[in-house]
Amino acid sequence: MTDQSPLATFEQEEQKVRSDFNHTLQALGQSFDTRVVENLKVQFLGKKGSVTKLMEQLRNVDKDMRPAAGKVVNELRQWLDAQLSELKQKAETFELQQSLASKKLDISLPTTHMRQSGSLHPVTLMRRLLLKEFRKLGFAVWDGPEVDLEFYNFSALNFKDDHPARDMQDTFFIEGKEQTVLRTHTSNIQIHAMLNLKPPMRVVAPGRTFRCDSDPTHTPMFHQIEGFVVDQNISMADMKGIIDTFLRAIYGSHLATRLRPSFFPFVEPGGEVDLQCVRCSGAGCRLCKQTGWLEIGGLGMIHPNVFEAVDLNSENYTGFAFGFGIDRMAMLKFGLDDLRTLFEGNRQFLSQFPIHL
Amino acid sequence: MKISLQWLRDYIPSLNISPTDVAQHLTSVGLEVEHIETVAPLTGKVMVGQILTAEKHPQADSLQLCSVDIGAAEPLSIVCGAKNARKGLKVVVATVGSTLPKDFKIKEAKIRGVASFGMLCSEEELGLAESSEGIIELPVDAKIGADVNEVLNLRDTVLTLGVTPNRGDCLSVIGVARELAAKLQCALALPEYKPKQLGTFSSSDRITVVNEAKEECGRFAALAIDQVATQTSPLWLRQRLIHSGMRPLNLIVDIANYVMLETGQPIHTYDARDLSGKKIGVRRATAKEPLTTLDGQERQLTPDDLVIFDGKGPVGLAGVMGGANSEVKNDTTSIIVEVAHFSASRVRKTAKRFALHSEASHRFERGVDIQRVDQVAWRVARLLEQCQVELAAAGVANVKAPQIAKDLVDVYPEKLREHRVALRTERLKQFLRHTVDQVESSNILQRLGIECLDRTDGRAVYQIPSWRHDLEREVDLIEEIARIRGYDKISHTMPLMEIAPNPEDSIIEFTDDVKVAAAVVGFTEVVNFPFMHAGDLDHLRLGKEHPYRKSVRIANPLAEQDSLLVTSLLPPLLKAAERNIRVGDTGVALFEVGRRFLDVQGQTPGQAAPELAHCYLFGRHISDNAREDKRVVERQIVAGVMTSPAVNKAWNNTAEEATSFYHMKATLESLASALGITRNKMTVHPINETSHPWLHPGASAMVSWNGHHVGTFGEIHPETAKAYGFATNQAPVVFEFDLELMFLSRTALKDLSLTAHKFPGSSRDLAFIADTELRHDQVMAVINSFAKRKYLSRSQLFDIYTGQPIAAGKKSMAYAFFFQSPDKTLTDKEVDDEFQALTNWLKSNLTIELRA
Repeated sequence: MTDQSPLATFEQEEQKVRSDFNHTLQALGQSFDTRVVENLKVQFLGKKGSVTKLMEQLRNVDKDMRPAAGKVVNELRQWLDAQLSELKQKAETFELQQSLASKKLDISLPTTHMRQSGSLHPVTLMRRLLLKEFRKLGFAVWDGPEVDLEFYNFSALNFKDDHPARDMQDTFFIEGKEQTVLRTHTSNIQIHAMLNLKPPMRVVAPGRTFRCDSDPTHTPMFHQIEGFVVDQNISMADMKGIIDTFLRAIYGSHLATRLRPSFFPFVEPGGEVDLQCVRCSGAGCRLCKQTGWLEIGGLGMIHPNVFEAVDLNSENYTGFAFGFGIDRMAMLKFGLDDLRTLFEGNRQFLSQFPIHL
Repeated sequence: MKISLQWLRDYIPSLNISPTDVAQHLTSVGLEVEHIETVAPLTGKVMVGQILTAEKHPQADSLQLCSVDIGAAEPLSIVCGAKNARKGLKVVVATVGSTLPKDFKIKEAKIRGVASFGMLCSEEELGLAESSEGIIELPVDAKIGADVNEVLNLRDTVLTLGVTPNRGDCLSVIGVARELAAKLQCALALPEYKPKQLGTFSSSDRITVVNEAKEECGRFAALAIDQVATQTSPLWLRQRLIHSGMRPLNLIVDIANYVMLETGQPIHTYDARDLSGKKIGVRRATAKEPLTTLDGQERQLTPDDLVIFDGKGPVGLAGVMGGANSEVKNDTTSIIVEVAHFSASRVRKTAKRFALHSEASHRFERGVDIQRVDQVAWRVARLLEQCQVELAAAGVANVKAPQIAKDLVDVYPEKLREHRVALRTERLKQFLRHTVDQVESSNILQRLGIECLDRTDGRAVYQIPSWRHDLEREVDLIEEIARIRGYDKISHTMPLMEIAPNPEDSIIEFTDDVKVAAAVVGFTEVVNFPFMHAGDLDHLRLGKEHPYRKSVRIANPLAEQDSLLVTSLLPPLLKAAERNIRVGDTGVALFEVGRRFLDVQGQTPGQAAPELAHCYLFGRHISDNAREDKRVVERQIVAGVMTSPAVNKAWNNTAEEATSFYHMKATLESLASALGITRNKMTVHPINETSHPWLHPGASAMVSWNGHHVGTFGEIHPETAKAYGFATNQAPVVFEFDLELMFLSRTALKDLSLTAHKFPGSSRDLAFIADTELRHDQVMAVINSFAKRKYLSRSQLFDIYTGQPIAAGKKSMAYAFFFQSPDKTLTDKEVDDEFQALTNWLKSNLTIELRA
């Protein structure tokens, strides 16, 4: 056995480990990964590492000096632990940066998603918009038959037999069925609803309508929304108020509306409502044929003959009814200029429209 | 209807507002002005000149060399070929630089060696007549240098009015003038109708009137006129006819048309020589009675037609068109003027049957004024007198004043009954939400010719004029007051109403939800016309008794291919998909919500397959149960189509995938899930080939939601695909669901599982070998009937394998089972025990062999 060394020698050894570590550290620089740190850990704190070797030399220290020497080794170990954990953090940061820098996608590549969302038809979008506004005003929504008896489509609506008013609407008749037609307007729902409800009534009814007419601005099938209000004291002023409110809700309050007299057998007084041109705001353009106004629907006070046809007392009740063309309203809203494109089922054209407005 | 503003001014002399303002006022009372056109036929320097000298052209006998004063410093030298060019004559001069109709440009020219600086014009050259002789001779007092548009009164504004069918009275200049005057509070000056000079003979000396159809001819008046002129009408009259959209012919016909336009009462004139037996009358035609109408068409009449006849037979279709055999000719000297009143619906029936829509029938159908038939007859005579005098004064040869009979033959058996309507001030206020006092309302009504007969406190009785057939009830008077005051005077209010809960419209809302869901899962919504043709039923391979064969036929379709209402939404959808493919689109997915129409009146499902039973039932939200027995069944349907590919070839090694049954199934599961039908609540079953012959029998299915049938989907049958133009390997995949069945099969809220799992579960896999015929739903049925089930919460098929080392006719299937408890984390033993029990259950209920 050799003589035991003094503490000073031991401390020299310890200092050498520290300076070895510091040298290594300097040589590392700033860019190193966690594997390097792991190696360092093995080199200094591992089974065959510098600290272990130092521990082995502890035996050579004088017995009474051993506690002091032990303390020195412990401090060294703690110092190295702290240094290595700091290094590890640096290495992790470096590795994260490396990994971020290594991934650079071509974000412009097309997706390979199976199928994109589809779209709703502009007429459906308009219909939903209309229903939303009318439900806000407390209207109920009704539906009715598209193939109907002349009673509901004409007679009950005060269209007299064999009167030219029936020519206003070129009618499709059903073969082999007496007095049966494809409804020419959604006004038949007025009769169905009035027969089933009691005043006060606020009803709208959107739907498909049919007339045997086909040219650039008419299609054999088109869409209307019918509405009516019945109570004990409904006036033309109320009619103007409701119509104005819903048109402003749809086209914005900067466009004025205009009511002028017209004729529909089921209303009296009757009228048509014009909206200031959506394109030129009333200045006059090709869309409004230089008039500044767009005809948008018919309306009027429900004719007493209609009330009588559904057994409502026309002395006790008054009301108004209106009918608007949904297709035309949609075309104006979306700026479309060809009615026929709505019904050609062209996917590329239709898929531009959203699901929610 | 076209109306001349110049003409309108004749009856409202104080009218001094612009044409645009006139249009606005007419629109505001309900006579919508659709178009305003300014007419000034002559542009450029076309002016009045006077011929100072007229000498023979040195090189040509037929030409004259005129020196014409147009008010300039020097007279113009103009070569003219007209015989009537003479010294002192006031003429129309088109100077160099002006353009005449037909784009005829006037330039400086050399005519047979002599320079000419302009042209002296005829009516033909000015576009005022189709042909004319000689140059226009202007009145001696015409001012030299003046604009010819002014001198000949050619300037006018033509308004096109949309007259609603209730206002027959406004198909006349007087009717329109009355409306405008009432609106503007101007005086109305109606034209004189009594001729100045009457003859000594009676109309009854010339003609006998026989009315054999008193029900349909309320009045028939005839007036005889001798010594009539058939020359060209005066320029002003021709101009007004042209501006009203009619073609001038000769004085007699022109005046009949003019008075019709003026009064709204159609008039017919006959050459008196042609009325055999000096007799004219009205009766129903006999079957197949022939008549050649003025348009040269020979027509076969029926007893439904009303005819005018003479001693020999029919001479006209009453109220529709005259006959060719009695029309006024160039050598006519004596005429019979017929002014009559025919039943609106009788005229309408005849006009419709012959598709003969004339100015006369148009007016009779809308109602004319029976009370003024006599005045109109006299008005024709008066105007004829005025024009013949005017033509004679202008030097037209062989024209003198006519000889007018001193009276009419006027058969008017039953005088029009007076119609009175009461108006309550309070009712008026209720409609307008504004008080209009009795003085104001009666003033307005009076301006429209509606006289107040009696006025008490709050109620006034009015006499409806004979020309206003549309005024029947109190509301009609309210409209008159509202529109003349102006609808713009009515304020805007909101109705004050009791709040009442609305009746349920949830199926309508549900329909909208379905549309949104269909769009979200990838379908583009289309709207097709619900028409098809008989061939489509064959394309769908429908059997004879299939309910979809019970289609509804339109009696008057636009085209044979659109003659049936659809019984399935698929034909129009397949056609739309094919159109898209034809223009190069791919992977097209379309859907539509529409109706099918089935004519199953009085029939019951009977032998029909259960999945078709609903075709015999009325949609609940569509029908109100009234007169249902006579109705056509309408069912609200949602249908869709998908074409290939479902997946495109892509840069990340994705291969193109044709659209298959499974893509549609996945899409419909997503759609159902969006509507609350989770995957375990939607089940599929093999289709019945007889009820769904348009689907591929091996690649299609019926769908149930919560155990209720809602519709079908699948690849379309190769024959159907071919019929709609799809290539053999491109058969689209379709679905068609009944919206009401969907609505009724929704998941009730009470059926929702209320467990939200908070403890982890674990899964076990099981692979087994079975016959290839074993279907997944058979396995699932056994799993679902596992009685000891305690923790099993879901099962998933994750692999199917055939081929080595699996024996032929066998396949391997692998399922993953997931076990979970709402109360605790399961121990391995608990999971293993239940998995073992499940495995035993499968082994004892299916012919399977577990794989190692």
